Amino acid sequence: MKRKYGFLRLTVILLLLCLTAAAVAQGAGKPVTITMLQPGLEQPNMKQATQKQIDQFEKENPNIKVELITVGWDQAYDKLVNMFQTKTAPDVIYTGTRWVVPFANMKGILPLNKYFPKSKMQQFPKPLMDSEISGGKIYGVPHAFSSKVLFYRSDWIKEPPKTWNELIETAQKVQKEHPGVYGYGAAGAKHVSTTDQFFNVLFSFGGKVFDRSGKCVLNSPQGERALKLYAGFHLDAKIVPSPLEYNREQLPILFKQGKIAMFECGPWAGRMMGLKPDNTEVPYKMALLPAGTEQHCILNSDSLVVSANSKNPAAAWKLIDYLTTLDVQAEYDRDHGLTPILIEEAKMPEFKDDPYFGIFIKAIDNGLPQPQPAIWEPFQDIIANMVQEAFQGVSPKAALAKAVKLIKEQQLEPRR
Amino acid sequence: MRDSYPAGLPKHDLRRMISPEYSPLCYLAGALLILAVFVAYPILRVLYMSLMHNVLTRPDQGIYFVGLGNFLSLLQNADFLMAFQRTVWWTLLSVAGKTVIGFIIALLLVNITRGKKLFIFLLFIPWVTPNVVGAITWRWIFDGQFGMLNWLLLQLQLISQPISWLSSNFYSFLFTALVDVWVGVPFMAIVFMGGLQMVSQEILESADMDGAGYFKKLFYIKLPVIRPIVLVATTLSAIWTFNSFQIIWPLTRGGPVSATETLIIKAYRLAFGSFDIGMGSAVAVIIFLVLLAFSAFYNQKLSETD
Repeated sequence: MKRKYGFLRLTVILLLLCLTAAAVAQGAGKPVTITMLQPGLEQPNMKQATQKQIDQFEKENPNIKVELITVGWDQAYDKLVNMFQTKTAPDVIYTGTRWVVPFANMKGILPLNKYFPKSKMQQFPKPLMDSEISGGKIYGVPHAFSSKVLFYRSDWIKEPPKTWNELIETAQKVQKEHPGVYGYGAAGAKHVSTTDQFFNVLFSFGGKVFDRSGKCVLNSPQGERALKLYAGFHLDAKIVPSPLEYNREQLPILFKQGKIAMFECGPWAGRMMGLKPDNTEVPYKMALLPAGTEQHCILNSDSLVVSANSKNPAAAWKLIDYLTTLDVQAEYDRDHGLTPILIEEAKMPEFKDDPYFGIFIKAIDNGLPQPQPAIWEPFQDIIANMVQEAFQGVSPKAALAKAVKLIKEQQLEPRR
Repeated sequence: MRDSYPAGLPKHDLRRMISPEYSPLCYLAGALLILAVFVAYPILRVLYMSLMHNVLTRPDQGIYFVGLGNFLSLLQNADFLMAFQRTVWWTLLSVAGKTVIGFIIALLLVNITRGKKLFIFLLFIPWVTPNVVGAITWRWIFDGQFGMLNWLLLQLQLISQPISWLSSNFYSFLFTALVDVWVGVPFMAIVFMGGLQMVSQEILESADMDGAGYFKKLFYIKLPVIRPIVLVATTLSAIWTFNSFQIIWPLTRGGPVSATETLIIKAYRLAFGSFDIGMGSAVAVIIFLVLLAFSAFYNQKLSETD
């Protein structure tokens, strides 16, 4: 009798197990649709490259459909904050890394520690990974990366400047020899690139925006020296065209038109100009950014994150994981003209031995991450205003003091 | 039906109030509902938000009631007071420009007989051009390197090197107001033209016979006749100009630094740049109160005109 019931019990358990397995299998096989938002895809030839990779992902993962949507970079931040508020954010978001910590603080995005293996994290340069961390948790995967170098007219400038003082001398020499040409182009418009370009000078004098405790220390002697030099490009040396009108993305155009002889930018500048370095019309070369007391360059990246309201975070992660595998990432960087982001990718001969990309890879060695204020956008406004005031002749000391005061008043110092 | 509502039914009886025969409420209900949803609710919501501390991007700071705290902070803030002052000057400059140019154009148009329709058609181009498109076009005209204005001034040898107009606090303030004038002139010109056409020909002919010159007729006959129209048009224009966002934002985004940051730009920056909904709403409420005062003045003048 006991044996009979034991057999029956075993049969019931097996049956339940089979049913559960079938349900799991069915669940696993159930097609899901996730949405991915990538800003800036309205630009020519931008959408195709991402869409091609998504098509390939869908082919390899037939149960996951990806709907790709876009918005202009100018509206991306507003749109995403609104989406977080209304819990309508897409599953996967391509975002500027500068927004990752603020989005994490807003609880708009998910921590990825559960999905993101250490072995994968180690594939990225450390400064980039540091920018993805908030409160000890990791929120994003770096996806698009740029170091910055100095582009210069190789037919006008034989030896690229190694220090900022040399840059001024070189620029003035070019202006003397080529009337109507400005020696250098600097960003001063209300744009993220104005903060980046100023920080490149600041870092080169050993300056910092926030100290280890998170206190804003921008108004240091180094900060004053950096802002004096940056504003001096326009006020004293007169080597830049109306800086308040231009952001970094407009400088390659001025360069191509022969209006400036040097500018700093990421690797996409070549693609923007549509010119190879050895062209005969506007021949150019690249060099590391000039040094102050030390040589540095800011490392910017965009990241992939998973929205906190995603109903399919596992599928979202699967897409992120796929897009950041070595081959797919390398293809993305090639298509978009970006600095190779993965350490292994940078060792690939097609990047390392490429005369164009080589210098960008070299620039990573002295790269420093972007500052991480509590919220980026008002911080960017304050820094851009500070730079603009300095360009208008306000003393660097006063402009820096005002910026620090506003950063404190608006509680923008990073939370540690 | 009427029998079921005796004439002696009290005025405030609910049956009387909802009766389609005795009360207008049923007929007004639809419009009232629309006004309540699309006008009253947003205004009340902004009023409520202006009394709160609520920064969408800083959930760590919490959402709490601050009473008039946001308003007090604004009134003690030098940047806000500067923005207020700047808005008043910008509005005065723009409205004065629109009024004077609009009036001159109206005077010219009212006297011509041939090609009047063509001139009116041309005059309407700035009015019908989307403001943002117009502002972007002007931004290119004012561009420091490639702008048409610099090219023209260089050709005429009035300047020796290009000027970066929108990088200068003074010129950016002036030129944003000028573009606003460009957009607003057609409306003023047409309204003034309508007013000038109302001036009685007989009175003008009598004045001619009495030997009155052009300026005498203008100052003693035409202007007094169209005075109510001028008042109403300038008041309306002041309300629109005070609130003008679509010109300044595409041209300068409130810059350089904050040279063209008017109150509406400040409200936008606070609400959608910093996502400080409390402070952004407080600025919006202040704009609302100023415009309410303008509107009251407008209504008064309108009733005087009637």
